[in-house]
Amino acid sequence: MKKASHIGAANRQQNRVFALFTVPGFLLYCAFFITPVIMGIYYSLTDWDGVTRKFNFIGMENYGKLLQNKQFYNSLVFTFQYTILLIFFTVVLAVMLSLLLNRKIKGLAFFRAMYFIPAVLSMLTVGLIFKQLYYHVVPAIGQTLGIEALSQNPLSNSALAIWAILFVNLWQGLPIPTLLFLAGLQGIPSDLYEAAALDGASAWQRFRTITIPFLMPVLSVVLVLTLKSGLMVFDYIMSMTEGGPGTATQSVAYMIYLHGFTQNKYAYSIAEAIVIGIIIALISAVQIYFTNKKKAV
Amino acid sequence: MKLRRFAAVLMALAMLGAAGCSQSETGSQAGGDASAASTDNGGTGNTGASVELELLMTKPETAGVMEEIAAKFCEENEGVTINVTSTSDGRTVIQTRLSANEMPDLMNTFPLEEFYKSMFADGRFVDITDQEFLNNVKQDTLELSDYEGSYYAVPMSVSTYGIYVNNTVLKENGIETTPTTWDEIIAACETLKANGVTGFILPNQDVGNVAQRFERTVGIINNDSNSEFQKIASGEMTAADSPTLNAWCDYNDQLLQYANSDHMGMDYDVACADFSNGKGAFMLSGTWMLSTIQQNNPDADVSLIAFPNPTGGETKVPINVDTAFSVGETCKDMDVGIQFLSYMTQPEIAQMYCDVDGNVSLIEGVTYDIPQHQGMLEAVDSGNVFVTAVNFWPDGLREEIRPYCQVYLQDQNRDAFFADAQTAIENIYNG
Repeated sequence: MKKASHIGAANRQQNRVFALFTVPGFLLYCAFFITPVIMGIYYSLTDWDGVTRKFNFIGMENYGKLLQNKQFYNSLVFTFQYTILLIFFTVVLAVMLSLLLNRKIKGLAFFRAMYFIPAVLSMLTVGLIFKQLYYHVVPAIGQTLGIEALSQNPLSNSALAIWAILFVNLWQGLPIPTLLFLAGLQGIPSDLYEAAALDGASAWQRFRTITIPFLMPVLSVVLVLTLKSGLMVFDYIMSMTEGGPGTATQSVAYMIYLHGFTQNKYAYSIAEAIVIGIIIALISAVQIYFTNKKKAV
Repeated sequence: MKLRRFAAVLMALAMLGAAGCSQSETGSQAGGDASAASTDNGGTGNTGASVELELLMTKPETAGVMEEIAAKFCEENEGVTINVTSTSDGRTVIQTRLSANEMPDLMNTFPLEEFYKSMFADGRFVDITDQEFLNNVKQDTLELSDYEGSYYAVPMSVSTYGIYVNNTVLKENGIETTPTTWDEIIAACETLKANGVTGFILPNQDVGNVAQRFERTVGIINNDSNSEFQKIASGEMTAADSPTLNAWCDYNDQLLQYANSDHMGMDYDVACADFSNGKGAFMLSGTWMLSTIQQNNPDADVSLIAFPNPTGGETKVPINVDTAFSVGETCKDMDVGIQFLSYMTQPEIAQMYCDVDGNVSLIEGVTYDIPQHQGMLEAVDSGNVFVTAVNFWPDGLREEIRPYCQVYLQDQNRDAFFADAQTAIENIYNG
C-alpha cells in the first residue's frame, strides 16, 4: 500500500515536470497565435480601415454584410472547386509517382532529385514564369497543333484559367506529397506482399488491402496539407490572374487581400478571414476523423 | 530525482528567459523609436551626429534618380545617410508598415488620393504648411496638394493621361498627320486594319490597367462622374441608364475592333514592349510610361496626345499629382527630413528628377523639355485639365468595379456589366 502511494507521488511529480516543459511552448503559442486571433475577432467587430487610429465598435455588422455579399459566395465556390481538384490530382498523381519512384529503376536518385526541384522554388516566381509561358509559348503550340482552346493565353479564358493555375500548382506542389508517400511505401513490411503473393492476391488486391491501409497515416497528412494549400491559394492567383478574368479565379484568400489592401476594409476582411478559418477548421476536423478511422496501424 | 526536477525547472526558465529577452528587445527598440521621434518632434534636430533616414519610393521607375539625388544630398550634408527603398506595390507596403508602426522617414505620396488624405487626417505625416520651400512650387498648382487648408506633401510633378502614338507605325502606313479627334483616330485605325496592323494595344489581362483606363476615360467623358455614380447608388438612376457608363461601353466596342487579338491575355509590360517596338499604333497611358518606352526602344518615335472625348463633348486632360514628398511623423530627424524636402524643390535638383520622371514639373525654374509630351504641357499651362476621377470617387470604387470592366472587354455583354456595375457602385457608396 505504502509502495503504491510512493509510486503515485512519483508519477504526480513527474507529471508536474512534464507540465513545466509545456509552459514555454504554451506561452509562445498564446503570444503568437491565440492573442492575434483574439485581436482579430475584436477588430472584426469594428469599422477599422487599417490606416487611421480611430475606429468604432459596430458589433456583428461586418459578418452580416459578408453573408449577404455575392462575391463572398462566388469566391467560396471557386475555392472549393479548386481545392477538390487539387486534392484529387495531388493524391492520385503523387501516389502514382511514388509507386514509380519506389521501384528499382535505373537513375532512381536522379529522378527523385529532379522531381523535387520545383518544390524549392518560390510560388510567386513560378507563377510569374508560367504567366509568361502561358502568354508566349502555349498559344504558339496551340496554333501549330490547331488546338483552338490553346490558341490563346489560357489565363484569359474564364473556363480554362482554373486549370492553368491548377497545373502550375501541381507542377510545383507534387514533390512533397510524393516524398511523403514514398516514405510511407518504404515503411510497409515486404513480407506482407510476399505472403499475399503466395496466397494468390493480384497486384490490385495487394495495393488495395496492403498499400492503401498502410498509406492512410500519410494520406491524412497529405490531405490536411493539400486542403490548406487549396483553401488558402493566393500566390498563384496574385502572380498569374489577379482573380481574373473578371472574378473567375478570385479565391477567398485573394478576396480578403483585395478588401483589406486595395479597399481599406480591414475590419471587414478580418471578418471574412475568421469565417473562412472556422470553415477550414471544421473541414479539417471531419477529414482527420475519417482518415484516422481507416488507419491500418 | 531532485536533481532532475531542478534541471527541468532551470531549462524551462532558460527557455522562458529566451522568449522574454527577445520580446523585451523588441519592446525597447519600439520604445527607442518612439522616444527618438518625440525628441525630434521637440525640434532638437540634427545635432551633428550621424543620422540615417529611409526614403520609400513607390514609383520604382524613378528610384534610380532618387538614389542619385539622395547621394548628392548626403555629400552636401555630412553625417546624413539616406537609404532609398522602392516598391511597385506601394499601397500594400505602406499599410503593412503602418500596422507594424514602422513608417518610413521620408516617402513619396499622392496627396490627392483618398488613401493618403486619410493618413494626413490621422497625423501620419508632418504638417509643412509654414515651410518656405512651398514657394518654389508653381502657386496655381500648389493647391492641388492642399488638405483642409494644410500641406503635408510638397508636390513635384503632375502626370497627364492620354493616348501614346507610335509615329513610325503611322508613317509606315501612309498616315502623315497625327490624328487628334476621335473620328480621326478611328479613321487611322481603319487604315491600319486594312493594312493588317494593330491599331490599339490593350493590355486587358492587367486588371489594374483596365481599372485605370476606366477611371481616366470615364473622367474625360464626364468630368463629374462622381455625381452620376451617387445617383446610381441612391436609386435616382440605374447603371443601365447612366450616360457615362454607356459612353464607356460604346467607345470600347469601337476600340476592340482595332485591338490586338490577344488583348485579354496581354499584361501591361508586354503591351508596353510591343508598343515601343512598333507592333501597334496607339496605347492609352500616362506621361509616366515614356521612361519605360525608352528603356524598351531608345529610338522609338512616340508622342502623347489628349484622349478626345468620344461623345463629342469638350475634351479635357486628366491630371494627377504624380510625385510629392512627405516626412513621416516618426521621422528620426525632422530637421533633416524637412531639409530634404526643401532640397527637392531646388530647380537644379527638380530638373534632375523631371528629366527622368517624364511628368510635368510643378517646380518654378524647371524646364520641361520633353518633345513627346509638348501637347500635354500646353494643356496643363492653358488650364485645360481636370483632376482625375479617382480623387473624388470613394476609396475602393476603382478596385470594386474593375473585374466587371474586364469581363465587359472580354464579352461585351452590357446587361451583365450594368448589373455588376450597379452592385459595385452600391456596395461602395452605400457601405
